[in-house]
Amino acid sequence: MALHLNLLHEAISEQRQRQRDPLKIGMMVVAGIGALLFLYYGWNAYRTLEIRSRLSAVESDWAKVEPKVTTAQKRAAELTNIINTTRVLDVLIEDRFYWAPFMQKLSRCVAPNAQLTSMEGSVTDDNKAVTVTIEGVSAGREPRSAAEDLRQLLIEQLGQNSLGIQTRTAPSGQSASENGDLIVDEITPGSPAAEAQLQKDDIIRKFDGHDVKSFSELLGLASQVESKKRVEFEILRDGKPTKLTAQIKDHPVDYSDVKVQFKTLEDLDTIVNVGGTTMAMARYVLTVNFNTHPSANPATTPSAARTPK
Amino acid sequence: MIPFKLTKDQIQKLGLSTMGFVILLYVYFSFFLGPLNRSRNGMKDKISDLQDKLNSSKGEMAKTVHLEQQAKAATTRFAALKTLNPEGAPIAWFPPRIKVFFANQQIDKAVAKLDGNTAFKQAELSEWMKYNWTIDLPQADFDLLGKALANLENSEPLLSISKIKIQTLTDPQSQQVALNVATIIQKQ
Repeated sequence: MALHLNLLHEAISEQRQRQRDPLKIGMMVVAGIGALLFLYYGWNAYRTLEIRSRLSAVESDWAKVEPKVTTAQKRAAELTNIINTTRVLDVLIEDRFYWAPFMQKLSRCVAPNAQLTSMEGSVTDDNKAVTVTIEGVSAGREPRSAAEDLRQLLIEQLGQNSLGIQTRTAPSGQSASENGDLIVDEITPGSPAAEAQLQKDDIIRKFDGHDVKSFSELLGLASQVESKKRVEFEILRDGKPTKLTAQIKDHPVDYSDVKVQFKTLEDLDTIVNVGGTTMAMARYVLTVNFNTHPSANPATTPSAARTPK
Repeated sequence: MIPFKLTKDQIQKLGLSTMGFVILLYVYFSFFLGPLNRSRNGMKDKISDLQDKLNSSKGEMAKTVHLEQQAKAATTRFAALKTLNPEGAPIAWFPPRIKVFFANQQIDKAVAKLDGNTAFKQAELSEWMKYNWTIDLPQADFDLLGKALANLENSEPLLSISKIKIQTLTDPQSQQVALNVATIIQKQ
């Protein structure tokens, strides 16, 4: 009996030993994990397929939209380029210095007794500053003072004109100062002269109680009047004396930092005879410097009056 | 309790199983799951990218429509500026055009010579060039010259006068004039 039990015990131990075979257990574990991994792979593959189908749908949508977007982008780039180029071109156009208004102002300053012989002007590359050299001859009892009158007129014409008025020569062809008639030629809209209802062809006799015989005199008187003060014009309109009131105010200027200086002013030996009157002559070279105000110098057609001859 | 004691053979088998397991994991992640995940992530990124493009495309198209409305004035002005200069080499058309212009202003003699051309510094004007010219008017009446200059400055916005030289001639009515002008011309 004891032997039989002992044999049974050994058989059981042997069976247990067989069941505990590590390779078998290992293989079973590996197989189990393998199955789990396979399932995980399958699930991932399914998700991938799902995403692929989503990608196909999005790609198909994009294929429909892409040509339109590309065209829109190209057009937007083109339009941006046009807008930018036009903006830069406009700045260049607006910043140009207009010579015609300057010539017009210059022509207004030149009286028959202070003629120009040459003019040379240049503007800087940035169109901000202008330099002009004017050469000429003046004639009269005091030819130097005729040249000085031209200098003063240039300063006043190119600089601040608080009245907003331009005058012209008398119809006889004589200068206003010689004729004694100062005729209104142009009035700047919104200026004191316009508000006073001064009109073209009015003849200015007095300004602020002072007799006026020349444009330089008028501008000189106006420059002495305080801003916002009311002053009286005595004029002849259609031959009838009339009084008008204007309020002096700061007028927008075309040019700033105006400097007009004599480079040369010398008497000449030449004597001229004009209408039986003997006149001395002087030669002058004026240098004109000023800065430009692009917004205030539109091109205008210069007046035919007072041109250098 | 029965002691758990492994035989040499069993230990070898256990080691073999462990190695097999490690190899299985390596093969699985490197050759199966890894590429699959990479492919899936790539597709996800592509979807996100396309989705962004699709979303922004609506904005892009709306922006272009808006820009088109905004740029109406600029487009018209740009077209007008372009038409100011005819096609072809400027040297071929500018001098005759100046001659005709001054002839119409009653200044019969006008000669334009090309001094050179330069590119603009501004990036916006990369398609445009600056041409410098000298215009000689051997004989011009001052009044006519003034009017001609005003008309030139008004009718040629792409032209600017940089220098002007006027010299009185023996005939007091006439002046000899030299103008240095710059024109802005689109590259051909």
